[in-house]
Formats: sequence, C-alpha cells, structure tokens
Amino acid sequence: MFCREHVVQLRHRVERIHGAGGEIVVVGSGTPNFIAGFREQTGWTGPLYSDPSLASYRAAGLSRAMWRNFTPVNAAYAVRALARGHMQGRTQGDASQQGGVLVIVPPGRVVYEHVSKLAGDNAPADEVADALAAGSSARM
Amino acid sequence: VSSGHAADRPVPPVLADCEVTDEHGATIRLGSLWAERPIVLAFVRHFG
Repeated sequence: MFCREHVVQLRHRVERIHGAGGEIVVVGSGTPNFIAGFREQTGWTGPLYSDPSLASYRAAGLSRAMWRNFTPVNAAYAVRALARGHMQGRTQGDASQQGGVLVIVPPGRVVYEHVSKLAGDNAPADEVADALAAGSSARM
Repeated sequence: VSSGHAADRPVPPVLADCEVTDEHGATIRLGSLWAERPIVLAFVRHFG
C-alpha cells in the first residue's frame, strides 16, 4: 500500500515537475510482469522500470531489512495509507527492500535524497517537487 | 514521515551503470535518464 501511496502522491506533482523540465522515473523491485498491474493501481503512465536484482537499490544506498516493515510506526503509516484509500496488495517484489528518492540533475549530480527509514516513510512529495524545481532552475 | 535533505554530490558511477527493465522487456541504463533533463528517481519497495 505504501508503494501505491507514494507513486500517487508523486503523480499529483507531475505537472509541476514537467513544467520545470523534469521527469519522474519509478523503479520497483518486482519483475516486469507486475508493472502493468501497478500502473492500473496507481494511474501512473510515466516511466516505470523493474530491477529485481536490487543492484540499483544497493547503488543508491537504500536500506534492506525486514524489521523495517514491522514497527509501531509502520502501523501508523498503514492507517494513514488506508485512510487515503490505498489498500494492501500482494507483495510483488522484495518485501525487505526499502525505498527512497534521489533528485538528479544533468550531467549527473544528486541534489536531493531521501532514504526511507521504514516501510511507509515516503519522501514528502512537495519536498521532492521543490528540490527538482530548484535543481532545474540552478542549471539555467 | 522523515524529510529528505539537499545534497550536492556526483551520482555514483555504479548507479549510473545499472540497467532496469520496462514492461516490454526493454532494458535501459539508468544514467541515460538524467543525461538531458533533471529527474526524480523514485525507488518503491515493490509493486504491491
């Protein structure tokens, strides 16, 4: 549910990000055959890729630990996600893998990063959009 | 929910060289995605 919630939150900022000359690229740990279903659940029509090897997650410095899915804080995150209408689906990927966000500007500089500490600890979408807009304007 | 933070560092070359796959089976080198424009690279845990 947290993955769906995160993508929907970002989708709501896509016009602002496109307006700043940027793009949102989503990577998931499930195999490519699960992408179509994820698009249907989230309404995401933009770039969406699969990396079941988790190589890109490791390279991005993201966390991988099952305990990060089962803390009292996760329960609060779950209530939040359910209240927003995001239901828990069957896990389609690596359940231990945690997420994160990098904002990257050409030719290859990271200008913002968020490493999820727990499942459901999604990067604040407005913060992400602000970082891309700032990074984009700094290039001009 | 925790906040992220501003950064100013090069993308690790190993990340730029990672390949990911779309629903049609086409692979792409991640580094090609930010060559021309800024991107939000969002890693979700899985597709559930």
